[in-house]
Amino acid sequence: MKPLLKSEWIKIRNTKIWWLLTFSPLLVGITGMTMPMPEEGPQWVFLLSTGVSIHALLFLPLMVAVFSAYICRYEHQHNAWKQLFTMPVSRRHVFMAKYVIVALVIAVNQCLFFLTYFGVGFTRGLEGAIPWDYLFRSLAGGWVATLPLAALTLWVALVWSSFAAAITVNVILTMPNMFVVNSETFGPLYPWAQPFLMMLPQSEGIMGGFFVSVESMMVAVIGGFLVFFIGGLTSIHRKVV
Amino acid sequence: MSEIIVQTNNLSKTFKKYKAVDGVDLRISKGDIYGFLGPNGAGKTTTIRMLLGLMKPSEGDIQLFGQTFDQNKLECLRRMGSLVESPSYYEHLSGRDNLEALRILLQVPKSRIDEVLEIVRLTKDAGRPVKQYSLGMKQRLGIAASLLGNPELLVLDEPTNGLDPSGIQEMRELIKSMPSKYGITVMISSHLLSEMDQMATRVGIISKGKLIYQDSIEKLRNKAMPQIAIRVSHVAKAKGYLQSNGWKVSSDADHLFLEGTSDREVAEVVAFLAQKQIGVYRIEENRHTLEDIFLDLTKGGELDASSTAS
Repeated sequence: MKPLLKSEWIKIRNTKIWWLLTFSPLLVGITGMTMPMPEEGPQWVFLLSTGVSIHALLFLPLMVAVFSAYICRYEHQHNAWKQLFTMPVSRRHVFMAKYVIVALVIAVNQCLFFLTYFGVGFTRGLEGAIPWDYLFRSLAGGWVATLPLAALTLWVALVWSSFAAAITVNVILTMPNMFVVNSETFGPLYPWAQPFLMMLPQSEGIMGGFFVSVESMMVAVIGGFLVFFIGGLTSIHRKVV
Repeated sequence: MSEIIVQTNNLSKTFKKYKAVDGVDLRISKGDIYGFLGPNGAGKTTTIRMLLGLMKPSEGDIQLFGQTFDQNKLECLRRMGSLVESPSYYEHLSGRDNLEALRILLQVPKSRIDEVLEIVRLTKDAGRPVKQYSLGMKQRLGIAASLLGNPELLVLDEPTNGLDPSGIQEMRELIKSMPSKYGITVMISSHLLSEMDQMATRVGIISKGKLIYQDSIEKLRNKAMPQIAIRVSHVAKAKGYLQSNGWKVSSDADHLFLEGTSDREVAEVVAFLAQKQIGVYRIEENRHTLEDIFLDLTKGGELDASSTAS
């Protein structure tokens, strides 16, 4: 596994894909600095809700998809799969290594989001206590919620050699998020909506209370992860190159 | 008999109903340069893909280095180097980084990269992104990658595709030196016999999925014996005379054909025919090239003497 991770890192380190990581935090930063802040209520929580709406509703799921597609793209391009699969490494480990990279990249993205959040908060001198508990749950929960999606998008990217097709399908499937997140039935099951649902601060209900409990989300997240990850593993094992 | 490196038994691959590879029994010994020949679409690449584990055989089994490939896949792959069809590469990386990404997986020392770059003469261009490389350079990078892990068996699928004549010459010299210089056994596929003629020690010929010939290249060459064609006035009559005198003769409409005949025998035949009042118009020597033999074999027929008159 370790050699595969190192090898993957060599392939991805000097690419332009990293700029994509700055996109969502940048937008969150601009919005956070310019939006009007309510006089009353917990301002830090309000900023978090707004930031999460921007970051997790669309950009985060798309980011996951783009990174998954990208990490397979250079293998598809000049059929490097063929060469990779004649190396003395197991194909399942190849999938796992790529998956770990995608998950790490998302973790970096989450951290950038929260750095921006603090940057905006302190610059504007927000009042009230920083809701550390929310923040931690939001940061970690958002990351965990992308894990099934990352497995799913990596699986798709593996099977489809077209970078554009993999992205397009994900864009189309991310769009309904705005409706799906409000649905009690589909919300927790829809992989593209899970990051948003897990990142948004619940209980106080500034954005309107959510019906979804953390417990039911975890079931959906773990279930989804297992299905998609095993699907991806099986698919790479059988892949004909 | 030296150690067998590659052995397949009844190796077959069926796509839907089409048998792309049909009961192939390969035998490649240590130190061979094994030329794997066949027209395009005969099943060469499919066979090679199965040898490399890129594709699962529908039937049959593969033994590499005396081990069952299926059960020791990673260990076998560790001892092999390969280049299948067009070279694989990461175009956004430099030549050196391309090799580095593979070196880490093969777990060989970093110095090995410089060695293989030197072998394929890419040292100077190693720092440039591969997207700027010419096809020949990409091909050489592919060879470098295949040598990176100090393989005992090198499997090259049409490695001279897209190379210019000097590149082909260079590749040939390189491959020829491998068994003696590095102790590598080489399996190399091609659709051109002429290419193998100057390189291979043994050849296997595949046609329509079946291995129709497998032996040393000398044996194949012996099939390329010259043939004497004699144009005569009365073919049937002349043939009858000669045959009744114990000559082995074949014929077409106006030629007699003699196989493997010495100068003296030709003279005797001519004198004999003249004595029988048969007019001898022309005496020609037809040589089969290996190419003719190859074409004949892959056409699915046995060697047919008269069809190769040139």
